[in-house]
Amino acid sequence: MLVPFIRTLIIYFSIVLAVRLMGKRQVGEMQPAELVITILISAVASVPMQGIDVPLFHGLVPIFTLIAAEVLISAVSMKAMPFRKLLTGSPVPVIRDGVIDQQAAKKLRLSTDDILEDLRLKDIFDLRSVKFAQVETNGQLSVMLSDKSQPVTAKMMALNPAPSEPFFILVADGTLIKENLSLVEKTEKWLQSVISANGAESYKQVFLLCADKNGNTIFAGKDKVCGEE
Amino acid sequence: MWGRVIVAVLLVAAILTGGLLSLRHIENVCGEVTRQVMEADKSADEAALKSAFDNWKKHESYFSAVIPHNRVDAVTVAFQRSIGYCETKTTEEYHASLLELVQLINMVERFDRLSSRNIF
Repeated sequence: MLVPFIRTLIIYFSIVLAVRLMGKRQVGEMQPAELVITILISAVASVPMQGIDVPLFHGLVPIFTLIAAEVLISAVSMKAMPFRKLLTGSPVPVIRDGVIDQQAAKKLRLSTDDILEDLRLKDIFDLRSVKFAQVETNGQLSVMLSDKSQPVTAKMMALNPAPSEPFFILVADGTLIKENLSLVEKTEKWLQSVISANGAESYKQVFLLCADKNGNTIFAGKDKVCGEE
Repeated sequence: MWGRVIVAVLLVAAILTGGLLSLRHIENVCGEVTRQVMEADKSADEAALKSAFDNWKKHESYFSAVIPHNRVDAVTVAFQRSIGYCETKTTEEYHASLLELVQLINMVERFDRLSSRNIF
């Protein structure tokens, strides 16, 4: 019982380490080669995990070989365009001026339903409002709306809104995140004053406290309803 | 980006170097144990066979880390059987069991060897 437990932990941490080596890009968007690697790793890892008569190295060596190959292949493909095309393919336009390119859709084995479903998932229910759409190499559909269907922006309205700053979490569930204080250019003294102003004594009584550089805060005490200041 | 590439290159280098060193170590140990077993066969010396077994046991943990356990266990069992035949002076079975033992050690040695049989 203990052997599979320890082996599973070793394999688990090795895969986590290996996936960290692959980088964030691979975790977020999977290219064909990365999908293959993910499938292979899950298959390879389960063998020594389940069969204790199989040496652990017979699982770890293939995992690290696959990851190293993936990292090296993506490095080469960054430098060599033809290699990249061979490995990941190219984006394929499927809609132009509200009209589906039937040849392209057929080539990608995409039905009209698939394309319309992808559009609906992007809150687009009218095909005519699409100026251009293409299937990216990771299989996702990117869409450019027609000029008439573009959402109104401040620029279009010739407005000059006040600059906004991103909010950062300073206190999460009673835990102070000190490093974020420097991101919003505030001090602990300022934080304490915000906490006191919201009726709490210390950050331990705070469920969530976010702030931006302009001093705007979002405060929620423990077991209290969120409110913006 | 390049940091990851360097880590990947080092990883490949470590796997290849480790693999080659392991291969050489397995070949050396198996060759040595086989030689000891053959000598024990010629001389019918129980002490020589036990010495070969001790040598095998010394490397058993390493073999179990790189070769399926059933293959390693088969050699250990064959050793014990041969020692048993030697102790009871069962000559015919003793020779047959030693031949089997040598064959099993060869199978362990061949397991990780870079050969078309293993690769394909």
